[in-house]
Amino acid sequence: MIIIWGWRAIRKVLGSGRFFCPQCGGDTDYKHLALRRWFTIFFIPIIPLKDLGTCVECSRCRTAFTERVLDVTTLEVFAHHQGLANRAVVAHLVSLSPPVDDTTVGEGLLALASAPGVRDGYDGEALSADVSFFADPGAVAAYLRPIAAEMTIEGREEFLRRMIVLVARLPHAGPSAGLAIEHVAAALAVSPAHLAGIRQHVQSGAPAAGGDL
Amino acid sequence: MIPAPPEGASVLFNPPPGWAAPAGFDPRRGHLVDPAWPSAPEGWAFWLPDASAGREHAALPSTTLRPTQAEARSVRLRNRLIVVGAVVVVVGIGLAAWAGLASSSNQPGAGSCWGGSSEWLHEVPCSSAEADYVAVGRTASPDECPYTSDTYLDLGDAILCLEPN
Ligand SMILES: [Zn+2]
Repeated sequence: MIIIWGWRAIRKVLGSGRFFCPQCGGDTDYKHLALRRWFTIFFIPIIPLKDLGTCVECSRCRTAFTERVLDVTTLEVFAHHQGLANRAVVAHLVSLSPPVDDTTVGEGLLALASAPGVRDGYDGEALSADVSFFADPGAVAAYLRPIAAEMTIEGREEFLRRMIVLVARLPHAGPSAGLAIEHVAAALAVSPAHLAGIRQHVQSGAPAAGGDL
Repeated sequence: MIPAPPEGASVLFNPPPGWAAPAGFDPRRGHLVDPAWPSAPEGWAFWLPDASAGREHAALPSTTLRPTQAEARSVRLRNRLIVVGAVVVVVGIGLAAWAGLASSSNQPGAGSCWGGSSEWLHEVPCSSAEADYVAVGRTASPDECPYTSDTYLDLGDAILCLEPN
């Protein structure tokens, strides 16, 4: 009798989803796996051997990562959060510059026209609904939080530059709007000195450096 | 308000109609709902079982025995008839066979290519269409093989870790 025996790693899929694969450099599907080696006879797992732990495996390049790779958001979700953060701050600044009329809404839409992540077709009606929702500073802070840790320094600068320009253009913006910009800067971990520099840059009329990724 | 998923279950987020949620959107990972999205229908199931959750097997088992093609065919026939008997006895015979083979192994190295049937592999030129696997390392134990190499050949005094070519 010839006996066929050996080991095989048996993978149990704990879950699946979409993640940013650092190896592929883009969004792709993943499987969350638990692995264990088994002693097999005639290819039948008989004895569980070493527990190989858990990992996250990229479905495209098959690279295995620790679960910490899931802490980084996908490019699509980051763009979604970027659009929400821009809408939140613009709507909040408009709410601080009453009355909310065609002029202020128009200025808000102009600011959002160059903002990443804002869907095509976002109009005055959508901004008016956002003004009601994001009049609450707590809601603004909640919608800034996801991007604060992942935005580059240049991205934060461009984001603040856009809001400073908007406040300068809103006809009835008072000191509260300027104060709100300071809170936004703090939420993005931009120091008061750094914010003063960005303000000076805007007032000098210098062109923006680039996008706010 | 999105309800928490069932404790311990493998589930996926199921966005309600009208939610333009980006691919990979998962409230468990802190992803935020757009306030412009419509309310979910009454009783909406926000969490559905993840159909991919379960058990998966490795692509190919490893073995210490590499018989001739004729023997392999014979083994495959017999495999279908044999019921696994006393595990201890089988392990003992297997160990003896392994020890016997160890002295005659030809010790191929990393970079060698392997192909053959689904049960037995033999070394083939890497340019061959049969080269289904490539050896990526030679280790003392299967546990030292890279994770991606869940197939390997036991050479008696070393393990040859294989990956799909
Ligand atoms: Zn990948």
